Amino acid sequence: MDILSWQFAAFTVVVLAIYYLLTRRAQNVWLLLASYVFYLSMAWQYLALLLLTTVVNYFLAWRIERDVLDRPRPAVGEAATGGARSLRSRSSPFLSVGLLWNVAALVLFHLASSTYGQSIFGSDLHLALNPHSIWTRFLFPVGFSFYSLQAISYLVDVSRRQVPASRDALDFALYMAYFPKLTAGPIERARGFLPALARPRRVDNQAVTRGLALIVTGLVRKLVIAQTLQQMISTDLFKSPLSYGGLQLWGGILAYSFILYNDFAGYTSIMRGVSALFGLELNQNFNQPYFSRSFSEFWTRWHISLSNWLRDYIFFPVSRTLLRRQPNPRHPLNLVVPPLTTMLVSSLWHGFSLGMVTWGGLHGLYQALERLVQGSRPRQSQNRRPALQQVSSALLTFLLAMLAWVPFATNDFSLALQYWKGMVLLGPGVNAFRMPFGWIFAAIGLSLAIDWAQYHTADDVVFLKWVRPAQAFLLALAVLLVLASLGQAVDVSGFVYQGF
Amino acid sequence: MPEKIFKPESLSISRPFGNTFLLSLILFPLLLGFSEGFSRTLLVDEVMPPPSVGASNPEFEVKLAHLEQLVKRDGAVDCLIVGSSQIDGGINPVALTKAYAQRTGKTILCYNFGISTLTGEAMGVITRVLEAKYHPRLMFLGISPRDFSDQFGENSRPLLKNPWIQYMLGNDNYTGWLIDHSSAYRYYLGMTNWKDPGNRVVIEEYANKIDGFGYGRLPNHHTPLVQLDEVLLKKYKFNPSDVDGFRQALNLNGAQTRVVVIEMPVNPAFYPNYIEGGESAYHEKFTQPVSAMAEEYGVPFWQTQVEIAPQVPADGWNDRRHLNEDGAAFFSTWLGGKIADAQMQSQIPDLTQSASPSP
Repeated sequence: MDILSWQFAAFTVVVLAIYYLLTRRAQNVWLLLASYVFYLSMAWQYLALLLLTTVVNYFLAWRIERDVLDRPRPAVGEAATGGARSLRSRSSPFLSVGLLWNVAALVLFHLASSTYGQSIFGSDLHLALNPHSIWTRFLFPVGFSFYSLQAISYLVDVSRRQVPASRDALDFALYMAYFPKLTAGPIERARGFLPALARPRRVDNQAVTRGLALIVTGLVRKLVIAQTLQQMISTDLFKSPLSYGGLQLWGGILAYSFILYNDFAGYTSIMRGVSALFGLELNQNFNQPYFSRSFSEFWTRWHISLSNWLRDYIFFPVSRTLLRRQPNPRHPLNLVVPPLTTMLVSSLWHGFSLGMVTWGGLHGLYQALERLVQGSRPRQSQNRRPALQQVSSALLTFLLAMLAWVPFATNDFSLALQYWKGMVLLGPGVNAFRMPFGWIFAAIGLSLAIDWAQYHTADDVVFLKWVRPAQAFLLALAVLLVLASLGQAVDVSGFVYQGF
Repeated sequence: MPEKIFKPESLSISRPFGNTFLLSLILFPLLLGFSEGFSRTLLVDEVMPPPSVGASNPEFEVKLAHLEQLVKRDGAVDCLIVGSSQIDGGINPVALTKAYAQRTGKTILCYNFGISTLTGEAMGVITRVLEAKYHPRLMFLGISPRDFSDQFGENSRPLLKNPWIQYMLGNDNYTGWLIDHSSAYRYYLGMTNWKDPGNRVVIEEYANKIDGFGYGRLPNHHTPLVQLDEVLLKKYKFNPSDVDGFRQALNLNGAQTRVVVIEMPVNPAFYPNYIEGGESAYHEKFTQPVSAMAEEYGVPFWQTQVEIAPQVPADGWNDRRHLNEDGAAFFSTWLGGKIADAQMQSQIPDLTQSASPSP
């Protein structure tokens, strides 16, 4: 079931209508059933895998908790980062089993779906990748990358005694399967989500208004901005960059930067809005990342739930390990290795390819360089710097982030090199495709306008604070633009001039 | 047990609620109205891609869009020239009107509505739609033997199923009504098609090729012509649906709109090989029956193959059947003069005496 479909809208309305009639416990049961139906609508194999992952992690957490119960609780201040004392205490072998289980599954699925996997598994995999094969669905489980990270964070948090192992199988299953976040996040932590499931929900005027505002904002981002931009650039721009001119390549990666952002941020906004209607708040996942003035700031604003996960479960543990060997926090080893390692893991999570590793490597490099430079200077808050400096820093950060999107878009290192080369040489290209820059800038302008409104008020539904006529006008305009974006094109691409 | 399951306490909506939504319901039609108003200005063509009537034929769409722009800018059009690609690249309205002006001292506004692969069947439909919408005083039907062959028409015949065209022919339907009455909806359809990268290349090619008077110039590349000795139409006979369409076009001839049939010339070296059987077959199977039909409806038939085609400059041909820009300039100049003569002989009405009513 596609979230941008009338089926999903009808599904959500039906689930909501019954949901509001139920007690809290019955609501959780109903939501779980609905989530399973949602996932089943994609493939029964997906649901089978989710159930298996849920059961394994649920019982593993019990065993982990039993093993760590006699471990002293972390002191105040150490809990958030799993302080040094807790690391020295006895850890559970079942944590290792759980991590191995989840990580191995992640690696296996990513490997199987990559070109490297095809070269490893050969013809058997090729047969399995046949779209009619029963096994194909197991190889590409939608949402697995997200809920497996949730499972890992849950097991680690239980081992650190930051969250008790759930004794409520139903609530834990709902934590894993909750449909608004199932397929593409946000990656929620058990320590926040499980208690929310245990509390009665209240959906008042404000919650409904906020939920609907998030949904409308998300639809504008995803359909009006991202989809329109997607249609403005050529479909093989990232597959055959050498045939395009330099200006087209610059325009293409600029558009892509905003396609990726608005598509993902739009999706998240829609799902947060839907979840708000259930009285369950999902964490913000994007916070105007292209206004970031440094890469350390960028990664507090882009895909926030993943960034926080990587910070807590990769960056901090690596940093602590290095600090034990080299106590000087400004030593280059401590400044460079943690961000590089973290971004490498992030890149592999996104995909097993040299293109993705290049993307992650660039971001790791950017952060490492920033830390090396900042390491030799006294710390200063970004907000205290002169405005011109902040703007120029933001533009530079955006430019470098945009260049790093090239290997992400091509998903291939050699194509990325060709693309960058084309951008530098600024040749005319041989492809007759003309980039409609006017429309591209109009869509980007709309994205920046929404971002700006949210940025300087730190409120992602700032429009709700406007006067009623302005809100109504904006809503009517948003609906008009969304409806206009829904049109299906008739294919006339085969109509070359025929002299008959 | 039910009390453990049902307890409608979660949803707690209090009044007032929904006022913003209600207000937006009022503003929405106002926004639509504003969009409609803007789409009827000349400014819209500066920012939006060409409008569409939902036809899957970009050449037809561009021809129609340019015609609408011309009418929006200059008022009603005096003459429309309909036919296949032979018309599209073979008649330059600017050269035509210039020749006419030189003979009469007056100006007229003509538009070229030649569509690639057009045959008689689609001609009948398109002429009726154009006549109903634009009320030209003069309608030229440029024809050639392939216009009556069922071997051609692959791009033009599907136009018959278009909802707007069906609506214009009197077959009411909601989509056709909306397309005909809403300029904003036409620009929306145009934008929807244009956004697709593959479509955009094709649409822009046609938009650049076809000028503001509908002329699809074929540049003179000075390349030798080929296939002059190959017979194009073997076992030639009239296709009934194409004849029906042609008759529907002839039937438009009347006080409001005068119809004239023009034989579009082909390269003289190719002429004997156009129809299997040579020149006599051409005359027997094409010229004679067309003459008879034209006479039936009181429509003049201006033949050009025998007398005019040999006068076209030797390098005025793009290929064996199409004139290039040099050939089109010659032929259009001749046509402009011919119109002036026919007007003086009262064969056709004086196009400059009273303007056609606005569409």
